[in-house]
Amino acid sequence: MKKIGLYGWVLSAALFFSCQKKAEQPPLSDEKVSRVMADLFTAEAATNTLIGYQKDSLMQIYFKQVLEMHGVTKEDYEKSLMLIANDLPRMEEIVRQAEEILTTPKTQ
Amino acid sequence: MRTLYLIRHAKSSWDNPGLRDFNRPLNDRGLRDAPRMAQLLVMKGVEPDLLISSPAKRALTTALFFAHAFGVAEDAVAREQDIYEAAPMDIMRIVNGLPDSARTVLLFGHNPTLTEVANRFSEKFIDNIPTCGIVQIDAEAESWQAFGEHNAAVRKWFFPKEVL
Repeated sequence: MKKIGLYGWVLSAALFFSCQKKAEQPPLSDEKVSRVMADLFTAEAATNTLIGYQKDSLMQIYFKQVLEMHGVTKEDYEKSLMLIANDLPRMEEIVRQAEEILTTPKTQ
Repeated sequence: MRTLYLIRHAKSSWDNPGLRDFNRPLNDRGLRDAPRMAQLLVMKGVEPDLLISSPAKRALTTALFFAHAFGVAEDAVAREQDIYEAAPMDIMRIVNGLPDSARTVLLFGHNPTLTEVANRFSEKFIDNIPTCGIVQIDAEAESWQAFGEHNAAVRKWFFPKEVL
């Protein structure tokens, strides 16, 4: 009986922690991630002709500026991507929306 | 036939100079590309028997995204220390020692070594396998021990900027 009790606790704890893990949500909304990603696409395009350290350094500057512009931290953006990356359809939708942002003409 | 996929880790971050090279994580682009390139292989009907990776964080994280896409348990991804900082001959030694029960293998590693290995099997010169780039090498070999330039060749490659 004691054994069953112990197993019960272990199972409950495992379920509790697995449920907690599933419940973790990205710090940023999908829309926000799309908007940041759209600007990072532009930054990537701007550095496409460069190579090596020049490209990496400039990309880092752009990356920082894009995040500042959107008022998000690197940690929040990357954590959001990490969590979303495990859900491919969601990631594809975010990438699609980012591409849509870039192709939709801005109203004057 | 045996098929080896050489997969370079996805784009990693240089942001934290205090971090050892071994512990560099994927950056935003890496996190974006890795699951999508994994899905590309799933869509192409690839059925890997074995995933083997450098234990460096950027390579292993990439491998785990592929494992996830193929429904392979994370602890089933083999970690091979010698892939990290390997010379081409080290990679060949690892490949020649793969278990014959595995006919299709995904190997996750680093440049410039992976590009050098790929070029040994390629008629067309591959300038550089980009991050998260995949090179497929097919071999008419009975065993991995027999896998070599005389019976294997690069058949295809998939690079993120070309396919995503």
